Amino acid sequence: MKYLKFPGKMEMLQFNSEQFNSLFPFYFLLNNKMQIIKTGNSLAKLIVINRNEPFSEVFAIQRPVLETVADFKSSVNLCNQLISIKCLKKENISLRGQFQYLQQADKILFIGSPWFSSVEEIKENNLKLNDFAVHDPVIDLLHLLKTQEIVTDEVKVLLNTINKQKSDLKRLSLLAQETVNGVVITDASGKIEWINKGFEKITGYSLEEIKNKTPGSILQGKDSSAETINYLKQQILNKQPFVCEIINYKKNGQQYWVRINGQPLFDNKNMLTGFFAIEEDITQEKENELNLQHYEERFRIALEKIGDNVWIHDFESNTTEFSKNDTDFLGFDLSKTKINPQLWWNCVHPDDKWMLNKNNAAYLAGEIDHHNLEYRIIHKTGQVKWVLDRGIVFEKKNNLPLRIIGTHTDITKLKEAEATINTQKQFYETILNNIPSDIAVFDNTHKYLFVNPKGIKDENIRKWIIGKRDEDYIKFRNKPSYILEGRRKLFNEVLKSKKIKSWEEEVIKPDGSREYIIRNMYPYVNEKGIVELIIGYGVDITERIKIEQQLKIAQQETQEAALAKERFLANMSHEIRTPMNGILGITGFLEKTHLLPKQKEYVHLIKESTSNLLVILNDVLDLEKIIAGKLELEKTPFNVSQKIKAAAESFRHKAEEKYLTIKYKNNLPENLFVEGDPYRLSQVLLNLISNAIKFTEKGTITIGADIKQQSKNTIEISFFIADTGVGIAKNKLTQIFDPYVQAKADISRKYGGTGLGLSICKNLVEIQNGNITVESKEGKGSTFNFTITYKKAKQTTEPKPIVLNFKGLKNKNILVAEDVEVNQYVIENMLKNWGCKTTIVDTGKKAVQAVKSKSFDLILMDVQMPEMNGFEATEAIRKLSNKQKANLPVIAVTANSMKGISSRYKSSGMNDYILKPFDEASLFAVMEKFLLSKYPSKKIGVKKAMVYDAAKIKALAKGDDAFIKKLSEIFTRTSPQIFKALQEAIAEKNWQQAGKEAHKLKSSINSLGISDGKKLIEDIEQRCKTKKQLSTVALLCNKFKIVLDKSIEQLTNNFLN
Amino acid sequence: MYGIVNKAIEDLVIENFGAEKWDAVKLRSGVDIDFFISNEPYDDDVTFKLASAVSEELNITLSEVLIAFGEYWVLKTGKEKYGSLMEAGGSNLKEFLVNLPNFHNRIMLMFPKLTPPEFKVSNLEERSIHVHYISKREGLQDFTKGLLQGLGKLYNTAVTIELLEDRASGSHHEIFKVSW
Ligand code: HEM
Repeated sequence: MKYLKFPGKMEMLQFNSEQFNSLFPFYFLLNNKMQIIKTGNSLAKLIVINRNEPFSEVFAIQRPVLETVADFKSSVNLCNQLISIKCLKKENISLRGQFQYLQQADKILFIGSPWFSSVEEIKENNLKLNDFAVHDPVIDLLHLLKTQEIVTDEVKVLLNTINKQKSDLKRLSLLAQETVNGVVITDASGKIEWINKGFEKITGYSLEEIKNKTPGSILQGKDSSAETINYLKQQILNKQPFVCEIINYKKNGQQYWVRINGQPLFDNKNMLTGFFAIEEDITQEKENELNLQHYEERFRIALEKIGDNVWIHDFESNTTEFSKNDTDFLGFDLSKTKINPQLWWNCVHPDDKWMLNKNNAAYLAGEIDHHNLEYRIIHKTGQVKWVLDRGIVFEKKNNLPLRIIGTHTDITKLKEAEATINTQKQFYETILNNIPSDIAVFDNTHKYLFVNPKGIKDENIRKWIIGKRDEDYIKFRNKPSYILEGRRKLFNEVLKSKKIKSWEEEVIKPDGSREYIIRNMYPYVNEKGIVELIIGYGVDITERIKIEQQLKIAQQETQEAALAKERFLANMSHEIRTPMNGILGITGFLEKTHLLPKQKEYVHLIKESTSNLLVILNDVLDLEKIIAGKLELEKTPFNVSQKIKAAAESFRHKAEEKYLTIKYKNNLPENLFVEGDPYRLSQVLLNLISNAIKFTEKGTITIGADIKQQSKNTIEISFFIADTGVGIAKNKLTQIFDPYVQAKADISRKYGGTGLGLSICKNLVEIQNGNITVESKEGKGSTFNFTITYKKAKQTTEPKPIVLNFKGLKNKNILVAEDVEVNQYVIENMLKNWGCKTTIVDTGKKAVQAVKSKSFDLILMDVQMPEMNGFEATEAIRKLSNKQKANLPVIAVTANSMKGISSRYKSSGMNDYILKPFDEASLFAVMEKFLLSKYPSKKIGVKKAMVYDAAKIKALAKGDDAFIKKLSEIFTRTSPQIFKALQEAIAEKNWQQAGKEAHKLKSSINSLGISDGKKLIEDIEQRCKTKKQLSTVALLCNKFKIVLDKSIEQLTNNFLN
Repeated sequence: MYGIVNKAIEDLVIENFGAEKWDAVKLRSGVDIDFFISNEPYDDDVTFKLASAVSEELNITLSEVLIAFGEYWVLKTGKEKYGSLMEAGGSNLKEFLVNLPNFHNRIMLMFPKLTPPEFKVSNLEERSIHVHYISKREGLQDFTKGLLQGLGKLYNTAVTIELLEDRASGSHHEIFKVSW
């Protein structure tokens, strides 16, 4: 129960607790100990206060400010004052209210409410509207505050907006003020209120001077268009905007053109408040326009003078005016086109109309502002004409063309010419495009001007590339840059050299096949000598290259076959000769024994058969050699007459056996010496005589020779062998020289022989630069004629026929190295017969061994032996430290008669060779050279035997074998030429020239260290230069030739084979 | 009516249809006031012109405009500007409606020149209540309906509103039955 005391009436009001709480929900009651003994419901909700909790622990009095801590007494004194207390337990909570001292109870009652600064705080402190007494205005005050806050925010926004507008306005007015154009604002009746600086500047008037006057009244004058003035008045009267151009007058009376752009101004209520106008000085613009018109006029006249038809088309009225009204173009009167705008259109070729339609549409859409068309029109006469139609917009409206001006030019002739050129161009392009070779034409900066489809297949690329450089193409094709560099280099070379350049290219195609192309770059040089174009073209030579390759293979195969054949022949020859050596040798021994007449005949037959076999063998080999070009001709001086005689004589016996007469009709001098191969001459003669005897049953064989012609140095001799035999059928005459052919099929049966004889004769004659012919009558006989040209030679004493004087060989120690037993036996017997002492070994190894252990005078060395062959053995012997043994004469005994053998035995250090089968005489002849005293055993050794100085060459080459080879090659190639020149100069007695040639030879002879030749050539040079002792120069030359030939032979064998 | 009402209409339009639409509405309404100040009273006519212009401009009925505006008023204006006041009004729909008569009396303190409506409640049931709307103004019952709907939304309560009586049919005032 609470009591409230009303002063004055002293009447007590009574409330119950609930009532009191609802009136003052934030009250609290303090006892005199300043403890809080009671609190209102809402206060309890706001702050937790324990019962009897001291006031000072919960609250502090903020206002009024107390000097000491509030005690009960001082608090009582605070009654009737506004009290603000702060809550110590919770931040930011303070109460506003008043103390009331309750005397009776000696207590202080606080009545008040929490004081918040915003509505949000109520919620933050968990309070509701109901927690406040209904009479409490706190909440409403806070809401009022809130409303005020909202309004303040609104006002801020408003202010901002206004500020912005203000600054915008400021800027605008500045614009209006500062713009170069004149700005004028009038009131609703058109009287000036405001003008900007621009207006003052243009007109020269200031605002004070013209305020409240109408602009028209001060600016317009006598040249101002009345029509425009009227328009302006109307618009203003009707409150309408206005745009016009008019002549105005400045204050100083000067005229100017102005463009006026005016706008009525209305207020919110749509009431006219005035006018606003911008006045732009367009005097300059007007002048330009005028100039343009003049210019246009002049231009049009110029165009017309040129002969073009000038037109102007107006899109709005869709009319066209033409400057030339004559009937040139269409055959119609063009002046009427203005009335009939379709006239021109109607004449346009139907196939070309689309072009004009498209063009027109583009103009009207504002897409183009000029055009350039070529189309056809049909003349009144029906003739089709080409016209070049060009035009440009010269007047616009709303940014779209209003009028265009242009020209029509008759280009019919041009077109016709173009067409002709095109046909021609097509003609040539068809050719170029169909040539099966790729062609590209470049200008001199390597830009493509043309390329045909063979060059670039893809049509688009082909079009694209024109005008591009080759490097663009390489980049486009992603080819490696070295290709470009390569091509560029070639291009520049051609540009520089101005000469065609060709090269072969191998192209590997994706499928792996190869293509070969000859590429050419051909410069086209104009009259000024400048390369204008470069034409590149390629020709596919794959077919050719393939054929070449096949040919090469075929050639190789042929060569290999030839080689195989050669090897086969060599083997065969070897295999036959080896046993034959035995047969012949033993037959020889047999012959010397005591024999019954019958036995003698048999032995003779064996000998003859063997000889025949040998002839056949030799024939076959000879022929092959000749055919293979491997026959080596000798060059020795010999007496021709003697050779003929010997050949004739050798058959006398045989002839007599058949009762045939041999006549000898030699017209050559008895002692005619020539240089050549005597053996090959004999071979031909013997062959022909043998044939003659063979095919003649009775009559005469005539053998003879004549000088056909001769010069100072050469002599052509013709030989003949005539018989009275069976003759040769006419139809066979041409064949008889073919190998393996005989005149009659049955001949071989009847007469024997290989049929190679004549073929060999023909070949032998021909390789001696001769010629063989035959004349024959069947049944009457044949005459064979052949000629050979020889060099004349000085008479020499021919080696006398060998007299087999075995005595000199007595007790000579001979080493025989031979693996075939029969041949061992044959040689051993022959040597024993001559009184030699023999040692026989059957391998090369044993031969070397024997040489080491015993002393010999000579070695007969079979070439083919097991373990170590003859060559190897000889080389080993030559290397022995004992000089005498190392230099033993070694004679090769070989059954291999093929070419190369002789050089092979020489290079391995052998001194000579004898071919199996051999007879006593030939073996003796070869041995005699090395054993008898008249052939003093000279120092033997490969190196020493050489005419050139190997040591000197080697020193010169410093170990470079290729150098020696080159040196030899040059020497063997050039020195015969120089020598020939030397000989010719001597023959012509041109001594000066001869001296020069000799000098040339001298230096190369010197460098090779050919000492034998050095003295000779020096002599020759000396004599030619001094022109002394000239009679013997030719002789010296011949001597020198021998040395030269020898050195060439040696160099060839040792370094070039 | 106070500017806050017109401002709420402006916010509603701008927020949903853009500033240009608002300019159009204003142009159409013929109201030539650029800024509404919340605690300034404006002629009621302004509010009605704006509401009609919105209806015409957006091509919806006036009733729809008023309902939408009512909802917007509660959910946006009330909640955003006087959130604590709204919350202090009660912790659920029923409590709020029971307090409603008191509620507007308070608002009158904040807006002294208000011509406030008077609310009374009766027939309080567990899940419904009768809200009596006594106003000097005509034609705002749809606005009131929108307000009541908005309150339902505010308290996440699905409500049905039934107009039991209205002035047009001769009653003294409008009575809405709000059920939830
Ligand atoms: C924070 C919340 C509210 C505020 C600040 C507020 C404020 C106002 C204001 C300023 C007016 C204009 C009166 C004039 O200018 O004469 C008004 C009118 C009105 N208010 Fe509120 N109000 C609030 C909430 C409500 C609620 C929740 C309802 C009811 C359900 C309501 C119902 C009405 C009605 C029906 C009118 C129309 C006036 C008439 O019929 O005469 N208001 N209010």
